[in-house]
Amino acid sequence: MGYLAPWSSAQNAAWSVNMDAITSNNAAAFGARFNGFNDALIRKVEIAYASDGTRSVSALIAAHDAEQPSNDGWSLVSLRVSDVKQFRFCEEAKSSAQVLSNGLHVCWFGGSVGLEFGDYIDAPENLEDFLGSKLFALGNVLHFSVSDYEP
Amino acid sequence: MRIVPYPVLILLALFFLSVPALGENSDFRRCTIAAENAVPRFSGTAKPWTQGATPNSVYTHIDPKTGKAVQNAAYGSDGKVIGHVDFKNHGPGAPSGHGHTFPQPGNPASAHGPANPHIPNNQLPPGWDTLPPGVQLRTPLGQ
Repeated sequence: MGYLAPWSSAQNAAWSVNMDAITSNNAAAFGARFNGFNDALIRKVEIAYASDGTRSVSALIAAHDAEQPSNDGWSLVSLRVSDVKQFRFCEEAKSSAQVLSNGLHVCWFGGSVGLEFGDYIDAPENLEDFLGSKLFALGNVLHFSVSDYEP
Repeated sequence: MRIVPYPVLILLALFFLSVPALGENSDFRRCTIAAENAVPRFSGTAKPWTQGATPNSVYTHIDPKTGKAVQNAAYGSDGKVIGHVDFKNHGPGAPSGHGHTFPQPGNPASAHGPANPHIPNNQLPPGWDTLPPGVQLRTPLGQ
């Protein structure tokens, strides 16, 4: 009989080994590689609660990748915000956040990092502005990994 | 019996004629209608709907911070979105004014991803990139 063990923060750390950290130093290059995620597609958003009470928000996004020679230049990008402090994903009945027409905004506020999933047209100017978005995750660490595109 | 003056009757008629439109688009930000042609045109700061819009209409998404247009959404006869025109530069091959037509009405994702090239502005259906009077583009066409 299977047993689904609670997800732990140690597992979070191990899982992140295969991912690269996004910092304020490499964020510009990261954004440029994926063209700011303009016209990218959200495939999946997951919220994980670890046994120690910490939370993480992960997203899988199909995006145009300047370093991808095949699949018409598209890749799948996994993003993970760890030690999440606050998040919101609010989608109205007749709209969809699936297509990132406004791109994905990666923001730093002091020691926190945030992902804003295109509810805003431009990157939020400050934390208060950021927290007004309908689509965001704010945490302490941001990682990403890239895999081949799959339909 | 009291007689209602003509101007009051006209104002009442205009009010009741406007009620169905407001009911259909309960977001009051959507109630800007340009009457210069037959295409119903709406605008607002909310993201465009994917379905349930006025049939054969165009909605302009306006940046609440700048008041400029960032995207038009075109709707088909069933009120489902059939295309977008983006007024932001989305990278190489996608300057302001590029468009997407959706093979699956109501599903913008159906025209994004590999093998879904952007449509040049001059190849878009007529009227898709028209803006409400007085509204400027976020980014000039072609830039």
